[in-house]
Amino acid sequence: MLAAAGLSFAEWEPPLAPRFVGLDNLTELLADPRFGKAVVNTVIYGVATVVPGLAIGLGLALLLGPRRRGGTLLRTTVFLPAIVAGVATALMWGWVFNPRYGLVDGLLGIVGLQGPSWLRDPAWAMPAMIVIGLWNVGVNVIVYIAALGTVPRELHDAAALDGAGATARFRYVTWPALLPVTFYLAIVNAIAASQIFTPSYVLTRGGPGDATLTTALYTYQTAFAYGRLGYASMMAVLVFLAVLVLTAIQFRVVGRRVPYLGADA
Amino acid sequence: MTGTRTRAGSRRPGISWQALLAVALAIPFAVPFIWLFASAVKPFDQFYAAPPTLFPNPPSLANLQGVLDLLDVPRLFANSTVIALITAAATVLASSVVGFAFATLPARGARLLFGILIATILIPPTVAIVPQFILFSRIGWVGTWLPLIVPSLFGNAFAIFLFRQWFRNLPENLFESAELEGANPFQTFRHIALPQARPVMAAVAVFAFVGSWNDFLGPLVYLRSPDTYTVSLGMATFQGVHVNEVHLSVAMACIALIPPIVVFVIAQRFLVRGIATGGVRG
Repeated sequence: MLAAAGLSFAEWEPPLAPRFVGLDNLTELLADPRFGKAVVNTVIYGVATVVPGLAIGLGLALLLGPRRRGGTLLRTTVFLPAIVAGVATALMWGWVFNPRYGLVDGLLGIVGLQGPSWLRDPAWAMPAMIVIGLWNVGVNVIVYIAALGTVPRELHDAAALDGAGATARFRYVTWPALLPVTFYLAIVNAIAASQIFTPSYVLTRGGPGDATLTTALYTYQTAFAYGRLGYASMMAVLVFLAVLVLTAIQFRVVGRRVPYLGADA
Repeated sequence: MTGTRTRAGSRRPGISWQALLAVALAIPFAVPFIWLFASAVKPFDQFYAAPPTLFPNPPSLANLQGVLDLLDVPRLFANSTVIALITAAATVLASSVVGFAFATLPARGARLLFGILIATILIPPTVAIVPQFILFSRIGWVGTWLPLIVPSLFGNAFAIFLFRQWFRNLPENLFESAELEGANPFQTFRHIALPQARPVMAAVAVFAFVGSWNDFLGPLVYLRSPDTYTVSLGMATFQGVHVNEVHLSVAMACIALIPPIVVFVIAQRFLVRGIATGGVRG
């Protein structure tokens, strides 16, 4: 980490020796339209996967929770994508979204709709990436199911005796108990979203027209395809600082309302 | 969670609307897999059919055979397995030792050190990859498996956290009495603590194995020669070469997915418990 910070002030294009260039990398980066595009894409991806991902995760956890019979098969199904995530599932989605022979456009065709070219269409490539991201929501489901198991049953029973309906019990008993876990997942998911790399690399190489270029992919390209190690470091450091600030904000805004976060874990 | 009482109002033996909804919501998670596996065994003309058909008629192994003819798939699997097994073993070993140290040794500054350690969980891998690459290329490790394996010898922050939590929740006099019997910290760890930590060891091992198996950036950056490639990297390279022969990359994805799915179904108990423990206590 410290090494990355140091490097970011250097111009280093092996085999040439590193050369201290001060803030040149930073000024160049801030004016770099591809970096701006990558940041915007990554933020869109993050917002569109993290918040719905939490909602879907909680919804599925409530439905598939520990008390449901036959839940094991469904839980396995929902969880599987997150476990095998990588190049293979990226290739699989490439085939699902194939504009000519793919499943999605095939299904749309049945109902008489002409589907877009998805990953080859600048307007639809990012939505397709977001679908792929949301498909990996399994970890959230598992963590929420586990958290639901820790909500004291007595509280539920007491609230029910006092005449609280299902909605009220969720609002005043379940949800407050889930806040710490939600907070944890929000942070972990946001960091993961800021690192999204494999689907873009495998499916689109960031295209078409940089529509799916993420900061992680641009950093990788800068360092290992263009060979600009110093410039790539500045990029990585900037993204890291942004994630750090975001996490700090999450701590300030949400952390205060989470009772036992301050306590020793 | 294990209570036998059912919550008032949810005591319904038949099929409830929640069950139907749950099934409906789970379907999208399974459909891409079904589509992939069905496509992989389609004959050529059915694979490239518009509109697509769902099930092959009759199934054909030609696509899978085509991949096996062009690519040394057993080699890729062997490489990934060796790397992931060593990584998993090293992660369990190193993380359990460090977690035990954090849980028991009242060294001054341990809390601060532990805080720093936990903070490193927040440092994303792409931030570290450039300086790490420079380091590994300086010592001549680029092109070998060492950059993929050696970092796990220092443990994994999340795994250390899980072990520490586990050891702290064991009864304290367990360790104290071992000490009174004259055991040194290492003996206490080896003979008292570790046998108690099997569930965490299993969870961490599966975690590390899956993480290493799915890793793409690491092999992409560090590996050079195709006979050292992992499944992920071999598959991505293969797809890049045969970009216009989608039936081959679909078959390859199918081959690559089946073993992890089988392993997952067998090991899911440990995995689920591990993730749940980390999330709920974290």
